[in-house]
Amino acid sequence: MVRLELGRILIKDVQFGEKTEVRDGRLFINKEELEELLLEDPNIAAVAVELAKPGDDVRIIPVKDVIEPRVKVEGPGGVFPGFISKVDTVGSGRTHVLAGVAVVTTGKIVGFQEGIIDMTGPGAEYTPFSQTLNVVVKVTPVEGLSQHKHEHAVRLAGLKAAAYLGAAGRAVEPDRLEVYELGPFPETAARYPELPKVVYLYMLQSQGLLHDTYVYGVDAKKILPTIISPTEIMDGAIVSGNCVSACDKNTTYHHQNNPVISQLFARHGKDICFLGVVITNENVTLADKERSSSYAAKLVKMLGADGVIITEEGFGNPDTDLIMNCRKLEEMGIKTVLITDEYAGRDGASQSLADAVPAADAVVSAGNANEVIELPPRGKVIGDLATVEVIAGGFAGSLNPDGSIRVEIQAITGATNELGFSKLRGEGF
Amino acid sequence: MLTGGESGEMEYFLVTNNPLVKGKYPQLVGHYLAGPVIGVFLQVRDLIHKGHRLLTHPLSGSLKPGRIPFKTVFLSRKREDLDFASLQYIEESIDLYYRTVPPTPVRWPEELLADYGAIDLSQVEAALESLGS
Repeated sequence: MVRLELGRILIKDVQFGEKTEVRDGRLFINKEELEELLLEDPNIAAVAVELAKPGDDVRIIPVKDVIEPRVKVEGPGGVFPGFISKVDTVGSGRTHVLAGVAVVTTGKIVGFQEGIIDMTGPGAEYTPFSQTLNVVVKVTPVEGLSQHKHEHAVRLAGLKAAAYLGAAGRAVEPDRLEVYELGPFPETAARYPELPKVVYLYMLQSQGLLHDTYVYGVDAKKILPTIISPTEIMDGAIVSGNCVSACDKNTTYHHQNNPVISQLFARHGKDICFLGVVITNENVTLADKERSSSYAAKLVKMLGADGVIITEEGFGNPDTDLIMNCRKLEEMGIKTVLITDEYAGRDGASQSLADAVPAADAVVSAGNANEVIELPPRGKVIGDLATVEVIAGGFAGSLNPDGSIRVEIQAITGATNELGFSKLRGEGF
Repeated sequence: MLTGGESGEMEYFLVTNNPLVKGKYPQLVGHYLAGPVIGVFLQVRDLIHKGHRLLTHPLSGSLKPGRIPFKTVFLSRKREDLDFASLQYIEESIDLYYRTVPPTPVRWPEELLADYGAIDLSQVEAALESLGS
């Protein structure tokens, strides 16, 4: 039996202070100590830590990753195995969460920049990270660093900052304790023989620079689909490799707080029997797609699932992985429900996905990424606004002289998140 | 096997408009077409009709094809009967190109061209690692 206690410490405010600690539900951060820690990386020339809170007149752009501070309190391993901690298997024991706090990394990696978080105004409605107390880490690399090394440096800085802050919650009594447990597959299946057995097939971006994901530090494009305990994911076993498709690239925060997993746990033993999670990748070669989709479908079948929930990450190339996964599972007689988003044009009338199959007849849409929104200027910009015209959801004329911008919601971090971690949805009519 | 095999001859070639790919892997580039991404797509479509198979997805990168300056696609060197799956992927990609290309051509600053080139190159290298180079 794998059992993880997740202790949520509800944080109501974040401030800079002399010592990094949690006191009376407030997180105090020693800014200099945090910056010095991140500057230990010889690839980083400068670090600036700023705070952005809900309601602040602030725009953060370009957002690279969002990470929730957590700390392992009991049990083997530590958070973000393969990066911050050694590679021991995580997911059991007890983990504390600084709930309500998020580390947000910003800074140029490549010139076309996206990932907008507005802390107030209409843009704030589209991102869940307008509601978190954000510790924004702006990383400037040393001169001449390659894009790959730069991405690596920013990724590590975000994880280090989250682990550093999370450690402040080690000795704090959580406000809420959640327990997640899942037994061996045969026991789980035998326990609820009358309920449909459901597996979650979790697709991870793995296309290359800024489109990658790591599992225990391993580049997901180099894995065969495999089984993972959902509680391992809560301990940071899956880490985002930063993003250039902001609306539907899963940040590390999304992985840590996957709503599909929490819902499957919530309904386990009630109307479904939640067997477990299979992770798979979204590579660029068609041979990899065939191999991974066949292998993932086989694993789901071997687990004895009646049904499977499949979530996609990104669009275009991964639409093909999504559809292959769906088709192969349905051909095995396993029912599929897909969660994706749409690129259906500004009027929503065009074809939504770049691939399709009749078996994909149960699809949940997280919204149309091509919807255009006007974002009024904000008093303060953390990061760099100048390149908004060339971001993925922007266009020539996006940036007005007054600092307001007109973009597709694709540019907003998490706007059409394909785990359903947002407020948008599509309706059929 | 998709790799070159014992003869060492590659069983695939690239169609690209990315000068970084041409510069780094000149021996792999079958068709270099300076210009917008649609030129690459149309060439790929024609080659698929001649019996070459798509080995990488034309929409790799999860970026709108009409909004990026560079794209590289891998095709099989061997010619067989028309592969309908390949044809469908490229036709969907062409359709998405026309749906996402802005009415006035984008003028890419030099710095951005280098970065887009690097992103495309990283996808090429991911594919090379998978296919065996």
